[in-house]
Amino acid sequence: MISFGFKPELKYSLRRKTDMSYWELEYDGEQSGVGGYGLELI
Amino acid sequence: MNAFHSNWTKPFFARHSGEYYIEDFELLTTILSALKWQQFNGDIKMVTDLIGYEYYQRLGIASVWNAGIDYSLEKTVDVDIDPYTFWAAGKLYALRQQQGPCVMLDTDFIIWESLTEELIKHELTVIHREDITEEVYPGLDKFILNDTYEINQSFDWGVLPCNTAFTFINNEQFKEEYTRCAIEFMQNTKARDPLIYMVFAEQRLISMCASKNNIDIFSFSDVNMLFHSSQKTFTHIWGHKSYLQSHPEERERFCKRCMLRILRDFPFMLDTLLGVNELNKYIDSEMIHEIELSQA
Repeated sequence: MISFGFKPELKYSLRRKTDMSYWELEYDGEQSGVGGYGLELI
Repeated sequence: MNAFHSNWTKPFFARHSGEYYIEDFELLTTILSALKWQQFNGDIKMVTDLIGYEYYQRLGIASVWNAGIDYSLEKTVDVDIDPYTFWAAGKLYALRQQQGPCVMLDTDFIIWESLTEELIKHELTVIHREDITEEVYPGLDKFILNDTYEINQSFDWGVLPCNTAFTFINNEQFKEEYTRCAIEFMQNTKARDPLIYMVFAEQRLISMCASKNNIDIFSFSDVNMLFHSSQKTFTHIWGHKSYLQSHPEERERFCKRCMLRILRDFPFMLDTLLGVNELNKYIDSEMIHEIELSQA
């Protein structure tokens, strides 16, 4: 489904700041928009 | 196991003017989602409307859904549904018309292994539950609804909502009741707000209906576990799409990564993807060489 960003996804992304996965580590601190999981599996 | 993607295009036009389009990273994850489902779990179709159908046909990617593209949302979505507020309504209408056990799968959700053995043990499976937070899931008093409409008084407002990016329903009566309740709610909403009303209809009513009917909800995981890098089963692009929209370099890197994965795992897609103008810029000669070598 095409999301327009209105799900509580940013909320989760903020929560994930302290729980960095491999993918998030690649963003060099710019994590506010990183709100997905399992991205490294692609 | 049958699955469906859905794409109702009316919400796009509630926010954009001009020709319909889907972002390149969304197209690539959609393709990967459909192909991986077929690889590990079964058949999948796309349920959309006429604009969506024609768009996929024009791109030339209709074949990624082995069960075809159904454009019944053109007729099934009631005209009184506000596409601004209920941007995922198409998903609920698509679910209502499915026959038998089925998986409702978001196009940005990819499953990397077979789940069928686990799914068939349960009447209702979701990827994870969600916390009840006031700003996202407020109480009934925050909703502006038609005076003649009344939410079922036996619903339990304490039961945790479900994230429905991946949902399996194996109970026809429940499916009918959930979609009926959700559609009635959407038809009786007076306000225009794209957050609280949609998630209530889609993600909270499913739990309330299940609880009312004593149906257990099986969750594959929880949010904390899913974000932990050790899980190897599920990918949900989810809020990362917002990041990709505003970070062009990362967008390109992400799209190339998706493209490489599609071509490595499904090399028969090379000609199809070379023909998609929106996507073929992510195919380079090195990729083509690798795919050709793997097929030699």
